[in-house]
Amino acid sequence: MAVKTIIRKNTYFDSVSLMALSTKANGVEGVKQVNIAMGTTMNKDVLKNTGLLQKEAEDAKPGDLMIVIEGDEGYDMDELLKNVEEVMERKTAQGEDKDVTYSSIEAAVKQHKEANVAVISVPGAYASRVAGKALREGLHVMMFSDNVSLEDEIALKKEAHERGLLMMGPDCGTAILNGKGLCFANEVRKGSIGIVAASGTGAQEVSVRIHDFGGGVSQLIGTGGRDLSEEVGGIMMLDGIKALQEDEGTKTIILVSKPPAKKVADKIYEVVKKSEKPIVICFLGGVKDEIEASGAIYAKTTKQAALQAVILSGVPEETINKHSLNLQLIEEVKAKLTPEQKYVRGLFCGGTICSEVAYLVKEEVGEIYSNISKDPKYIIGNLEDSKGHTFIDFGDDSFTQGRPHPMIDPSLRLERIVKEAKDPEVGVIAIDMILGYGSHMDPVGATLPAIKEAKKIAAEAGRHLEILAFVLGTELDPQVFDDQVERLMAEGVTISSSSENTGLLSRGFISKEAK
Amino acid sequence: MNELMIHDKFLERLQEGNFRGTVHSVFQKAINIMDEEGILYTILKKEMDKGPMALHVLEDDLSCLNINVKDPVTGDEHQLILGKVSISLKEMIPYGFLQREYRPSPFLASNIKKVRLQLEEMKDENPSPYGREVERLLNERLSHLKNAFMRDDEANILEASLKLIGLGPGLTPSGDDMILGILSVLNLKNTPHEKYRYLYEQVIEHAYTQTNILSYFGLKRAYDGWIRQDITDFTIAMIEKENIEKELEKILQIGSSSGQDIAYGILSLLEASDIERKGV
Repeated sequence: MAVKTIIRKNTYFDSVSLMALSTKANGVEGVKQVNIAMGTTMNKDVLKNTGLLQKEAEDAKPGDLMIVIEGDEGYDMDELLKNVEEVMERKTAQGEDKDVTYSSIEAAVKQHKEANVAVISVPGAYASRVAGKALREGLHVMMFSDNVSLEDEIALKKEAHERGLLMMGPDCGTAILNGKGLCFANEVRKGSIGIVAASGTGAQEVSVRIHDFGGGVSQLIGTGGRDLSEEVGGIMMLDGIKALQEDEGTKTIILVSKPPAKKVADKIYEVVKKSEKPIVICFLGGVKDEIEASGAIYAKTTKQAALQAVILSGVPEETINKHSLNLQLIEEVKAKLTPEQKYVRGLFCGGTICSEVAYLVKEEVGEIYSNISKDPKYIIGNLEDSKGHTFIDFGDDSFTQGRPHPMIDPSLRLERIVKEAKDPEVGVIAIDMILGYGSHMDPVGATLPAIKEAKKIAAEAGRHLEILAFVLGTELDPQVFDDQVERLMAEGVTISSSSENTGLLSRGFISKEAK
Repeated sequence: MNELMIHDKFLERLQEGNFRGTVHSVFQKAINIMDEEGILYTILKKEMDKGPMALHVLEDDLSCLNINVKDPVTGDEHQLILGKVSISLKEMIPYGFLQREYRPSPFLASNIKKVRLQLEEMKDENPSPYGREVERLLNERLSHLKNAFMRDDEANILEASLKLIGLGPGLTPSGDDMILGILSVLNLKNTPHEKYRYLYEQVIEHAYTQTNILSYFGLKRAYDGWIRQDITDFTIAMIEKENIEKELEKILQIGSSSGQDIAYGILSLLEASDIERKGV
């Protein structure tokens, strides 16, 4: 193991700065690990026991700072040491540092008076208090945290409304404000279409489809999943619509959600009626007549919502690639499946993607079991075992207690892909790969071993297994969209171009002709 | 500079006159001064909680004040001068540290459980081999200390405490912070293990050569009965209050992980006391 030690004599950094220094130093290429500690006898003993004690550290005093660098194979240690020292000098010399940690919202605001948004991602028990502080400091709030009580959500949204601020969340995963993506967001073209969404991956899909169709996004305001419930009353949705009405850069508005509570829907329609800007509404499973009666444009799916808005924004319709359904492909896949293979298993990281695909499949095939079904009769009792057509949202709370969301860590889904492949009644496994900021840097890479295993299991059993993947992203996202798609296709995975097409293809593949 | 309040003992020292020293260290929230007798004093930002031998000022970021390490310091009853910066002591409000009392309530057990769970959730999941070894030793030694208190084993209380000094990351090593937490409980009047408090005189003496000077003074002051307000507030809240969210949040904001380590120390001794109280 290659080790180098730096001793800073009589050097006192406060603990927060030490943590920041450690993070920076650990980020230097070639550094395996940097351990930073004061030169006390006890700390030196630990270095000795872990094989890291060098002469410099042996001579260190309790008031000295020991910086012990372990290098990766193949790196010049003297060079590494120089790089680490440089990074640390830079860190300590900087007056202003983007990675500075503050102990409170108030302290951060004092040092950054130009900031006007707080993104909150702390355990739910503390999120409300922190959000309240942020609002009182005059900040808009995006709350990624969940496990916040309904009462707290209502109180925060009312306070935000009174202060003229946005209170996005709780459980809000996606926003794009003035071109800046927050939390999970895709890199999309800037344009004139504003979105208000009570749905994280739904918002992502709409923004990506807008980009794909040649349009652009002005703002994307998230509301959190419960906003359109009767209790919360759509406070953020309504404030979001108002904000977009007042935003000069927004010419067309899209609303995305699952169907709101009736009273909330009525309030929204009242506002929509008075809107001077065209509004497209995609309430998945919503009632077309009601939406059209408000003067809004009805969109059955997120893809349709994006398409309508892009056309309204002035992009000529004839220039748009609408990714029509490949009917020939549907027939080819149907022919490969045995009569016994009659089920679709949808295994999704995105909740709205799961809902939308399930909704479309259900239209054709009948009942769907799911962990997010609104009908108690079709809530899957045992999350480990599928039943009939089953759609699982791996981002649901039941899977994410104490572990990262599957968009960050897709590993939770891998075992299930392999398990479904063993079921001879499964013809189609539909999955999503969500790109963009905040997401895993290589979701396809993380999932391919399971896909290969699944294909192998089916092949050895003498059957075709259709794996259908929807890659949600743009060519501007950090994960390299084309590479993600190509690697899936190389393993025989069929690619669908949208959430809508995933649903239509799945149901097409699995449908059996009446005999 | 705009001033606010001062520890009464610090004010007494300044009123004696002829205060001389140098600036020892400068941080965003605190500036430390070492006088000619080797005693540490601290200037704190207004927002900080009351600290031992400290003077609070209104400035937001003390590291921007043009006060540098090794700047000369002089002071008397009227003012304190650090390099070129002068602090007026007029209209200063003195404060002291009153001894609080241990009065266990029915909430103690549930608070212990709640805080233990929360601290476990905050643990670093992927430390390096070095980090894992440090964590193992800290856990082991704190556990020995807690067991020693439960068994009324004086020799092991001393030994386990000595073995925590200087161990762990941070400006104030984690082991020191845990001892600080222990002292926070031992300082309470009628605390179950009050009779072992005297052992910590040796621990403090040991700390003088085994840890850095800033951490040493933190421990020494704690032994003298002077501990940061937020730490005492949390200790009392654990023992007496039903809802401890506010106090827990404040203590966890201390340093990077110091707050957690102090909380672990407090928790361990309170657990030991609570188990004994129930006769388990």
